[in-house]
Amino acid sequence: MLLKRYTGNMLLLILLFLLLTFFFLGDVFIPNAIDFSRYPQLHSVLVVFLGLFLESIPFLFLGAIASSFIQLYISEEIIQRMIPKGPVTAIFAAIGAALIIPVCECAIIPVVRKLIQKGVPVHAGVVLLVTAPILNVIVFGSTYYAFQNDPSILYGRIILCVLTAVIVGLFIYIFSRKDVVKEEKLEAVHEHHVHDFPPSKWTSFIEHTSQEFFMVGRYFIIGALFASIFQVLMDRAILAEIGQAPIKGTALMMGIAFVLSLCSSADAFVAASFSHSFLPGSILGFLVFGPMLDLKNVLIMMACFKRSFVFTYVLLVFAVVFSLCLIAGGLISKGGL
Amino acid sequence: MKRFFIQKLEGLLLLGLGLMIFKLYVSGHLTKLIAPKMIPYALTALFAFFVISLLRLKKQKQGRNHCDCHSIRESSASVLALKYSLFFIPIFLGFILTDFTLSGEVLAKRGMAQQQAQKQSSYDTGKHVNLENITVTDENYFEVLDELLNNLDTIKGKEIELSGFVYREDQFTKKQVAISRLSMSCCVVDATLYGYMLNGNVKGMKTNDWYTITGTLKKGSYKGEAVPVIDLKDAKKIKPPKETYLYENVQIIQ
Repeated sequence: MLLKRYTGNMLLLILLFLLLTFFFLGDVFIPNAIDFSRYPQLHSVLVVFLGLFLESIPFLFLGAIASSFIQLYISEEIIQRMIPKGPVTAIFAAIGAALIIPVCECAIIPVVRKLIQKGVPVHAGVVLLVTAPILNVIVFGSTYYAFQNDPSILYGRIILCVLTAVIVGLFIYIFSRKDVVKEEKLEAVHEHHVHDFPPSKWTSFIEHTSQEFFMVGRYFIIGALFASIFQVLMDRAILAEIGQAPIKGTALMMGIAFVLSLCSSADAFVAASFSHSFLPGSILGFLVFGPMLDLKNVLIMMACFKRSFVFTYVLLVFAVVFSLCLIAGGLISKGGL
Repeated sequence: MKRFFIQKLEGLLLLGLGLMIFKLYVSGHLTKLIAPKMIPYALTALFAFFVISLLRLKKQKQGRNHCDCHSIRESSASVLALKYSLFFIPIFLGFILTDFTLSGEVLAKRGMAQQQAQKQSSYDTGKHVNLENITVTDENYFEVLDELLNNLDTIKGKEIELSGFVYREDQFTKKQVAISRLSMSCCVVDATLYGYMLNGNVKGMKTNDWYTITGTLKKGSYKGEAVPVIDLKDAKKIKPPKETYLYENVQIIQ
């Protein structure tokens, strides 16, 4: 026991030493040792990965803080009182909440997980997952700005997002199981000690935030690594050739949105750069599906929910968004929207 | 015991993450990875990481009932070490990278953004286009591009001066390059390439090198779309500017 503790401390000291060495000297001796210009693609993957990581990390952390806050300070009774009983009212209440909450996909998943554990019905939680990344002022603003000449994209994005939320929410309400959250048993330990030791709340808040952050973070890192590889290797020119077919084009744009893993407040600009080669319905597919599901947030979901639930959710959201985009694409091309 | 180790390890990793953001911020590299509007978030995270790191590294009182949520109970020490070691990837990358430019061949896969002529421009139309000599700066880059796209038929023969880096695609002829800029709205992931096609004696201009060029405008095409094209008069090699990216500013209320 004593020996083990000793090795543990030694290991930590070595790590600290390494961290500090690289902090002060990393950019001095490593660029001399490894010539990144000889591996331009690898170098670009690493740069894109670091960008994606730095952009998302504050929001991942915010999500962990919010989730710990709910865990420790919001009791199940409050939630029971706040949530409307009927499924339809609950779904619309969740859409309203999504409009107010100014967070995007990285932060919302752990929060929804915690809310469901605290007794929020699964269908309401799912509606939050679907709508929170799209229904906020920043996303409206950037979509409007990127598609000034085509306002149907902005309206279409909002309408399709709400419709998807309602359909997916109702479907989950009818067919859902209650136990969708991962590792529920362990949480019981929590409840117990929170009530027993009120003075330690602050410490457990820190502990909780940190652990939540590292749990979600490691899935995020894997997702972000894959996303950056796709970002760098995918040749956009080849895509343009398939672009004009409505069905193939929509499926393709949704696929691209999935692998690129853009932040919902930035994806409109990228979508605008595709707008010449793809039909409006396909562009909507990109703008509606991307924020709801992409490589990085599917991995975050894996950290928070049971695999079977993630699987159902992915299929359901894909099917609903896909059919809605085809309908919307038809309407736009007839000038109906 | 393991719990104790994990707690310290998490503290150490948070310290590392904080130091990584700090180093990138101080060296000025942060704006090559994320847009200025995202920097306050990163700095808040930096502060939060340091605070929580200190609290995690501080010796905790024994005998308290710790919460054992998530992975701590289920995994063996080696699996745990592997899970946490993932966090060293971004930390060390932030420490060692000094060059944050995306390579030319990677950019060629993205292609140049094809801007649509806006039906209604939000700027005073004609502010730049009516001049005989147009000078493009970071501040008016999108305004000028917008106006030129809107007035393609009247721009022939006007002088333009701008800076950017040389960009090539496989389909370009020997007399063609694009003089381009990268723009980001949130981070390098959404980096979008904008540029002007440049015709003339461009053989000696190396891909990714920065130039200030002057030339005359005319209507031409890129991938079948009508765009402004520049006939090269003079090119001068320059050092890459401090801010290599343009940032798309979204004004929500316009």
